[in-house]
Amino acid sequence: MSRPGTMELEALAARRSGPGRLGPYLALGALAALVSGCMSGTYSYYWGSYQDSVRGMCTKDKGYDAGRELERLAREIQRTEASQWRLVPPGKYMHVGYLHYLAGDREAAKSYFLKEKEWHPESARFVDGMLERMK
Amino acid sequence: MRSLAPLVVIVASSLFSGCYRQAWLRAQEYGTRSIVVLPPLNESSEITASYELYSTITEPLANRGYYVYPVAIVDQFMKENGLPTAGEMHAVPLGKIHEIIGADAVLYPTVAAWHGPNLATIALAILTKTAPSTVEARYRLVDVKSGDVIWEHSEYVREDASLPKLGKRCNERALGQRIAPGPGHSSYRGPLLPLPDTSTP
Repeated sequence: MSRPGTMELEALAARRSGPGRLGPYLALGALAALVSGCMSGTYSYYWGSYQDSVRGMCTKDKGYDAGRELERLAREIQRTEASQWRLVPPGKYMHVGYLHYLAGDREAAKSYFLKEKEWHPESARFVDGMLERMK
Repeated sequence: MRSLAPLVVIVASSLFSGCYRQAWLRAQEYGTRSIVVLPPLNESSEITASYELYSTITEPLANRGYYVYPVAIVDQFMKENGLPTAGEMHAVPLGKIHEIIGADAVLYPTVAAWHGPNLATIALAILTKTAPSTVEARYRLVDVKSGDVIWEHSEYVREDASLPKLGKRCNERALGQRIAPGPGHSSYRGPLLPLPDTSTP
């Protein structure tokens, strides 16, 4: 009673090598995963060069090449669609569709607009309006 | 003073109660899901300030959980419909915005200041060996159906970095942190379903 017996000593040894010892590290890892997930909710948007393309288009940059922007954004969208944990952010599909429309390709523009409507139903009215005006 | 803990609790609770909490609750009352951002009014002396701020405004707002309409298209569309300046775009009646765009709320940004170090601050810059630039922007979020101001905020950034970076930081602080979180992406992956009828103004 005053001295720990062999059974108590074995129990102590087992505790020292069990998950209890790694407990703080597991908790920290779980916390890190939780915090990084909390930063963007359950989704994660892949922005890529969308905002740069917006800046180029709005400020009429001299180095702005619509064809190159289109290719780059289309590739990013393909990569995002293929990945499991990333989504195409709001407006990106429609932006690429609009670039196609400016380049003269109405079929591609229509397909991107419909994708925007499918993935972000809040855009429905605006997309429908654009499709009407594009006819 | 036995311990600082009670004092810390009192100070913290007084900071978190009050205007920020009110704004957060109000924003969630309106149930804003989608926001259309108009090109910023420009009160600064730099012509490019408006579109520099505009180009980095989508990301923090969308990451916060709102649907943001594609800003390049909104800008172009308004210009093609007889609204060449930001001032005229800000004056569009909310009924029109609801009819054509269908957004729940409109964000009206304004660039109040956008300048690098100038002659007046150069003496201070030499002394402190830094050359900070300044960006100040105001934001107003208005509910389309009722016309109420859901949220209003003024952000001031003064750091030693390029102006576009400061504009981005200004947007991130105001729209990434100060505004209430949105409902988040609908995460809808599937075939198109018939949408609910939202045509009543």
